[in-house]
Amino acid sequence: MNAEPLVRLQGLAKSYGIYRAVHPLDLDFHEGDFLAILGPSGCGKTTLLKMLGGFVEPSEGAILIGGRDVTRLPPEKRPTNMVFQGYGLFPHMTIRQNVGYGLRIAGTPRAEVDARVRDMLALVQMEAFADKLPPQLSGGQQQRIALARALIMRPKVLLLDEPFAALDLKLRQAMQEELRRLHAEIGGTFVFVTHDQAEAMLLATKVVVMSRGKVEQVGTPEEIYLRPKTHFVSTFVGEANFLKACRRLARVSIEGAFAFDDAGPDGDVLVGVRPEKVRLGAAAARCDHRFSGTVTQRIFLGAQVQYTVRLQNGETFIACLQEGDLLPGDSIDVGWMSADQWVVTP
Amino acid sequence: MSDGAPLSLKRDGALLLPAAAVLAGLFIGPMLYFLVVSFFKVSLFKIVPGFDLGNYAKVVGSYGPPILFTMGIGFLIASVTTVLAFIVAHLIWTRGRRFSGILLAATLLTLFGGYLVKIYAWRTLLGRDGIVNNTLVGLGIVREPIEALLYSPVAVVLVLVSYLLPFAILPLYGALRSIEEKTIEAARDLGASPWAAVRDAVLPRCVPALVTAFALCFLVTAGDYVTPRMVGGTRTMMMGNFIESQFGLRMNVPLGAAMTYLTITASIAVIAFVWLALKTVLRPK
Amino acid sequence: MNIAYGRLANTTIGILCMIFMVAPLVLVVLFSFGSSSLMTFPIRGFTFGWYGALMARDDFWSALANSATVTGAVGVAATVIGTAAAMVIVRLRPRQSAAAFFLFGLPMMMPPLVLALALLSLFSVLGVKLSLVTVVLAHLTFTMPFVILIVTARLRDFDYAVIDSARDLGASPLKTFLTVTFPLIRPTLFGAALIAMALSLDDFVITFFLIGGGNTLPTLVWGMLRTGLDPSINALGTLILLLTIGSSALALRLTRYRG
Repeated sequence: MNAEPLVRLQGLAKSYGIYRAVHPLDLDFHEGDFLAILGPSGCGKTTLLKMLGGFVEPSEGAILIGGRDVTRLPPEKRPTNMVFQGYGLFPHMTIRQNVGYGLRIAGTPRAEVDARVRDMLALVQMEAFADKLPPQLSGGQQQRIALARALIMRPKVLLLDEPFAALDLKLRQAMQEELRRLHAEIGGTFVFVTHDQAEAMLLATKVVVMSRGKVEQVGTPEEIYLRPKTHFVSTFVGEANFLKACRRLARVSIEGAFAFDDAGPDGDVLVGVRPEKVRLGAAAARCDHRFSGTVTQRIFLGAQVQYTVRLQNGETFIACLQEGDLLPGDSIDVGWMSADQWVVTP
Repeated sequence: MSDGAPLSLKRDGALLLPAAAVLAGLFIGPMLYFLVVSFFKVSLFKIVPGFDLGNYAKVVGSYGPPILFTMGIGFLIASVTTVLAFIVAHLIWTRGRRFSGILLAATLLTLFGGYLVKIYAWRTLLGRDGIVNNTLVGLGIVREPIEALLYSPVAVVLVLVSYLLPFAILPLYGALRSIEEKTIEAARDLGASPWAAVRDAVLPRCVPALVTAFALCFLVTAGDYVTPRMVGGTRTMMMGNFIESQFGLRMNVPLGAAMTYLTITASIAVIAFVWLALKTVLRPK
Repeated sequence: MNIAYGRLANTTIGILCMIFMVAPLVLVVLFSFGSSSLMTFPIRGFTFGWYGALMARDDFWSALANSATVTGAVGVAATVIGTAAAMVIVRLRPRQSAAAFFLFGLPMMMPPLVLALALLSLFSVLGVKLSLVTVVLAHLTFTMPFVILIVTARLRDFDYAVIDSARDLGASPLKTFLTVTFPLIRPTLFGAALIAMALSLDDFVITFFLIGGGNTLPTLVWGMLRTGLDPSINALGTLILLLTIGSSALALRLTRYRG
């Protein structure tokens, strides 16, 4: 990884009157990164992306791309290109004209435009549609054209605004695969916005989780999932079990159960564990932490079986197992490893 | 979200200025000046500025019957037109593509053209030897041609209803189009008869459009002088004729302005009354 | 049974209303080709004679020229001014844009006689000489609201992402307007202009009071009506209908505007 980041955001913020859409944030990412900005609707993720593209003017802070300050540059002067939500294809131009638009505006010689458009359409497997108009294409095909139209500009950063939101499940999966292939094939730096944590995990090399205009956590998908730093991240990127605990002098203890070392300020905390990391019965015996409990519900989910267990201290735990023949009413030991737990403030 | 778009209100609000200038300079300004003039006096064919309620007193004193007649015939024409227009709009909205397509085309195409042409066509149609009388006599419905068809208030009503129908159909059709058909189906599903479904689920949501259609028809009628002159005969004198004559033969602009403002005020009163009545009658029970 | 009768009654009313709206216009057109000088059935003989008689009149050609001048000027001015206004109105909040529609729509509701007389009084006190210019100015007031309505409706379902796309791909605001925005709204602008022109061409009352001297096609009709029954009036009427209905039919195709 290069030491010098490709994109650097310094104290970047956006306010609409007294409403803060994006709180001041600092963020670096590097050439070749596939960055996901993940969060629920209204968390400021699209505003952040539009600030990168030049469609929303930041209220504070700066954006540097390749060391150059682009904060005040209009979209047409930035080394970024965007795939818009709803695609924004020009309905009065053919596919060929759509894809070649940016190059023509830049005054590229005609022969070169034609050649690059041909290559780009081949890359997204849309050569056969070159002379069609956008309304004649399906959603997935329009998506490919929008991608091609942005990629042909060889942007330093490709921005994608909820690129798959309008597609049905099967097509979405196919397009996600396609985007991954393109990133692997041509390289470059991609930034996409999504509210779908599975999509972020699947595609991104680096995930930025946002909530209410603030960055909650930045990290690899593994870090985000296995080591969430906040309560919001814990629940937004997956299912989580929580136990109420208390931290005093860098030691977290659960009353009447166990204690372990964990640095941080004193006060009430929550200890989190993912359902698929919870072990039941004999497997629990080898775990670092154990409770006894009673099975209250069993749900068959196909690939997995999900148990709801009431612990002796009255709290409820969810456990996902590959298999199991436990029944409601069974008494059972519940356990997990220290490495699989994390601590957040409520 | 939109401040990065190529149009920002702050920057491009100036685009509104030419239109605002047209509205202010060529409509609001003249109308205000006209209001001021209505308080002036005329002496020796010259307009004398001042503040004088004499014009209004004169209109109320001498032109009471024509104002009442104009309001009455306006009410009749606007009501008939609005009811018929609602039926046609409802047909366009509910019927199959072909029938509603033809109806809509007839409406849209007759909307924009031929004000004078329509009036004089009706004059020939309704005349003593016109097609209507010839047909009636030919079919043996009447023995003698009906003289009163032309040059009577009946002719004014016929011509104006025919002229105004397309203007009334369009706003009503626009209002109907924004109602989802599901609401009607739901009303029918809950046991409403077709008429009850229209009354309870459709009409209440058309009140603004009904008032718009009525107001448009009423105002055009109240201000029209060509139709009464062409087909109304000498006895059908409407306010439009009196107002117009103040600018022709009699040259009493202040009196004409006072007539205009009294007519407009009376019209607004009628329209407001109709609006309130519709709102009350069509309130969901 | 009841329902079927109700349906039949409504259909009948619908058909009668349509005949009521269309018949006068159809008859004028038919009689303009009929050789009899009276408008009675049956039509005997087919002739272009009334058109010949119309074209032989000098006042027809000057009226046509005046109508063309006024209509052209109103079409261009109303479309430019109305479109500029629509671009702002479409961005207003719903309450504000409703207020703007109401304000700009007022001249549409006002009887033409009132509009004409108010303007006439103001022009005369300001010493403005009546001419085709005053007619054009007056026509702007009631044609502009139609342009604003039609263009705003188009801009409301305009996909603004295409503008952002063009900027993103390197086009300046001007280039974006020329290569993307304008080509996309061009049919609507033509349509709005044609509607404004149809309305302007058809106006009699306002033109009559504000033209000063000379004729347009409708005021020529008025003059011919007053001088007795000249069947070439049917030819003139047909011509006016052809121009107004033709341009509005074209406009409706272009804009797909339906009220």
